[in-house]
Amino acid sequence: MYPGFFLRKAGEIAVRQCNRPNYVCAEISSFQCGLPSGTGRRFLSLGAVRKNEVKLPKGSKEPKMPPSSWRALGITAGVGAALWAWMIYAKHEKEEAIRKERSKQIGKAKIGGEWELTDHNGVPRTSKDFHGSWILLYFGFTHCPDICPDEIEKMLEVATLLEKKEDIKVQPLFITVDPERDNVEAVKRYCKEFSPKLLGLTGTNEQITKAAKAFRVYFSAAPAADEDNDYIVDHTIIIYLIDPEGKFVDYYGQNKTAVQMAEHIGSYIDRFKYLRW
Amino acid sequence: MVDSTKKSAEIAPNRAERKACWDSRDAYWKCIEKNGTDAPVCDQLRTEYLNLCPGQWVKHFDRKFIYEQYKKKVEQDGFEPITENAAPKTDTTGGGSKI
Repeated sequence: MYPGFFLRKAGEIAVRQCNRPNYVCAEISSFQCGLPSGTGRRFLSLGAVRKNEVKLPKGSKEPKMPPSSWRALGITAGVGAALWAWMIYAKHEKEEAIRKERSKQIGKAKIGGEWELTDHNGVPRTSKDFHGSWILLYFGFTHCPDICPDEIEKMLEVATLLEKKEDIKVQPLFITVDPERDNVEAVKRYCKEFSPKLLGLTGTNEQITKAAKAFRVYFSAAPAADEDNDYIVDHTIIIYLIDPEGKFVDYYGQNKTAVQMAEHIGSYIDRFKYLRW
Repeated sequence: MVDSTKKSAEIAPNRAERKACWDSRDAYWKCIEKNGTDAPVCDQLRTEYLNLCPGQWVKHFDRKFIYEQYKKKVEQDGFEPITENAAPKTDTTGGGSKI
C-alpha cells in the first residue's frame, strides 16, 4: 500500500513541477530504483524545471545545473530511498515474523489439545466451544489449601487488566484435578465465589486425565488420606494462555505477577492482531 | 468455633472459612517465629488454628512453615552441607506433634 501511494505522490509533484510526461517517468523511475544519484539527464531535466518555475537569483548565472537543484534532487532521492528501504525492511520483518510464528507453532504443538468436560452449569463442553476467545486456564481443586485460590485470583485479575487495557475479553477457566470430590455442584459453588466470569470444568477421571495430559499437567492425590477421607492433590501450578484458534501460546508460573502477565499477554494479543491483519 | 475439619471431607471450605483458617495460621506462625515452636504462649493459637483449618491443610501448612524457615536460614547463613553439620541445627521437625 505504501509504495503505490508514495509513487503517486512523487509523480504528482513531478507533474506539477514540469508538466512534461517524460520528466514524470524519469522522476518515478529514479524513485523506483531508490538510488540517491540519477543520470545526468535526470539532473538536467529537474534542473530545468526548477529554473523555469522558480527564478533563483543564482540560477541565471549558472547555465545548466544550479547547486540548489543538485541539493533538492539529492534530498528527494535520499528521502525516497530511505522510505523505500523502510518499506522493504517492514515487509521483510512481517514475513519473518509470520515465518517465526509458524515454526514456533510447530514446536508448541506438543502442549495443549482438545478436551471434553462438563462446565459448572452441567453443560457438556469441548475445547472447540471456546475457539474465538482468548483463554486463561488453570488446573486445581476445590479443597486446595492456599495456592489455587491465590492463582485463581491472579488469573481473574489478569483478565480484568486485559479487559481494561486491551479491550479484549479473556475467558478464565478452572479445571479440577479432583474428580472424586469436585462434582458439578462443588465446582459451581467454588467458582461462583471467585467471580461470575470464572467457568469451572469437571468430568470423569478419564476426561480429566486426558485434559491434564494434553497440557502436561501432573496431578496425584496424596496417599495419606486421613480418617475423614480428606486429602490434598499434588499438581502442577501453571496458568496457560490459549489463543482464539485454540492453540497454546504460553504458560505462567507462580512467580509471575498479574501485572507482568497482563503486559506479556497484551503483547501476544497485539501480535496476534498484527499477523492476522 | 466451627470444626471445619469434619465437614471439609465432603465440602471444601468457602471463602470466609479459608480466610478464617489463614488468619489463625498466620497468628500462630507469628507467635512461634517470635517465641519458638515449643512456646506454651502459642498453644492457644495453635488450638484455634487446628480448629479452623482442615487437618490436611494443617499438615500442608506445617510443612510449608518448616520449609520457609529453612529457606530463610539458608539465605541468612548460607548453605551448610549436611556432612559438615553433624548436629542438625536446622531440624525443627523433631517428630513431635507440633511443628
